[in-house]
Amino acid sequence: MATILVVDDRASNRQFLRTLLGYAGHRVIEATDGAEALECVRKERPDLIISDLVMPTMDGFEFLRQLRADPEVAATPVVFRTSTYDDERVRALAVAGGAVNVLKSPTEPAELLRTVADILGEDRRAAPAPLGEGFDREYRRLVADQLAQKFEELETAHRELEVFTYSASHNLRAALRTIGGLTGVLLEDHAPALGAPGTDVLERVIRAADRMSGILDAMLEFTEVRRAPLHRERVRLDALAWEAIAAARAAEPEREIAVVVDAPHEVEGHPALLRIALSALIDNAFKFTRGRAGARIEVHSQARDREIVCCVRDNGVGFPPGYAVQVFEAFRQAHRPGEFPGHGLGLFTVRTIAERHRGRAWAESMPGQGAAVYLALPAPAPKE
Amino acid sequence: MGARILVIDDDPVGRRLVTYLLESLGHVASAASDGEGGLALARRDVPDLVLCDVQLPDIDGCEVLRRLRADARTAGIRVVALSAAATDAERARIDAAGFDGRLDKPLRIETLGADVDGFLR
Repeated sequence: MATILVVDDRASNRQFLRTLLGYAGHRVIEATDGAEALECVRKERPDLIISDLVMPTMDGFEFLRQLRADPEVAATPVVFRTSTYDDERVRALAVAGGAVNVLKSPTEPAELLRTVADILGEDRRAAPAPLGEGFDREYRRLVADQLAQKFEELETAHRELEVFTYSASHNLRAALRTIGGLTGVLLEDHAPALGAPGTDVLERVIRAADRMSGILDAMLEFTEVRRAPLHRERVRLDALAWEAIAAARAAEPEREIAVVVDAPHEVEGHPALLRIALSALIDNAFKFTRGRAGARIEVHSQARDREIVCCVRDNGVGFPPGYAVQVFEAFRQAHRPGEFPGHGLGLFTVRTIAERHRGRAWAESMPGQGAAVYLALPAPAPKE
Repeated sequence: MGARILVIDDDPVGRRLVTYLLESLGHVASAASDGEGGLALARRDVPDLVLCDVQLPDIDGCEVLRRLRADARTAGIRVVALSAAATDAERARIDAAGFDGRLDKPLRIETLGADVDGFLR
């Protein structure tokens, strides 16, 4: 009977080896990653280690390196199991590191038991040669290559997701226009036959379709914000603010809102994106002061620590301080759905625009005392 | 500014949907369900644009176009084919007939306004 350490982050793999090796009469101890395994080796001095290669915290190679660096346990034979068995470089590196064998995962039970019996039957009192620089170099190269490959996969997946979101929004919007249009036809041509209850139902259908249309428009705008190539121009914040205020006023000409704009700073950024950001902030200020007597909106800017900070402040309903982070998340609103119009993408878009410019966005508020939303962008280089 | 647009299509729902959408875009829309009816309306109203389905129950859309062009009163109207053509040959036949444009069915609702503006320009 031998003591065998099984290292694997997957419980099902550990169970498989435990059962198999236990059946062959061995004592099995377990670890879920390299760090835990090292501790276990030093304490329990197993006769053999069977380890997975890819694990969180510490992978098989790093485990092997550290094992070989400790003279007390350096001679413990190691067998790796990996699903990237066919990768010649992985095998070569494992062997260079002194692993006795590399097995394919999943492993044939008979092959595993044969390998274990062979190794335990050998005389291995002599510690293998210490690891040379070649191992570390090759290991770093392998890790870098794997990272590069993962990065590429991630980028591809991200791009595909963006294209998917964009075309999904487009197609949904087209289908939705048809639904809205046909409902409008029904309402216009057949209202007498439907009667008041039927008409009411259809009006709600149309309102829901409008709302969904708005969400899809906001999603499409957001994809544009993400994808638009970033070209930079110098723009004055107050110019953007006044533009947004004029648009918001035109949408609600009957409202009386006191507006103060003191934002003379210039920022450097994509004008269309910055316009979207300022509009979202101003629109929010208009929206959340609705129904408030003496509504007041202020736009200020300030240069501080290599940043230009723009603040849009209102004296509207505000939100609880605990919401300061989540109001910037997609589809998260601080208020009950339907209490205020909107699609839950406004501040998310603002934050994304800030981040694309290497800036930041944050908010402060107390319920009933209004909100202040900040947009900080890197200060432009001083003019010649 | 709205234009006067005649829709000739035998599918009653599709026809009504298009006129509804055109009206919601600010145009003045009228409609006919077959070629003869469409020709009569076109001669009476002389619209700015005709959207004409190619497959009509009585006469072919290309024939509607030919008759509109042959009549001095309606010769100047812009005529766009609405086509559900499944084959390249059918599409080629429509394109060769001399329409001012072609919109494929099912119509792309979200671009209908822009498409129509393009034909009116």
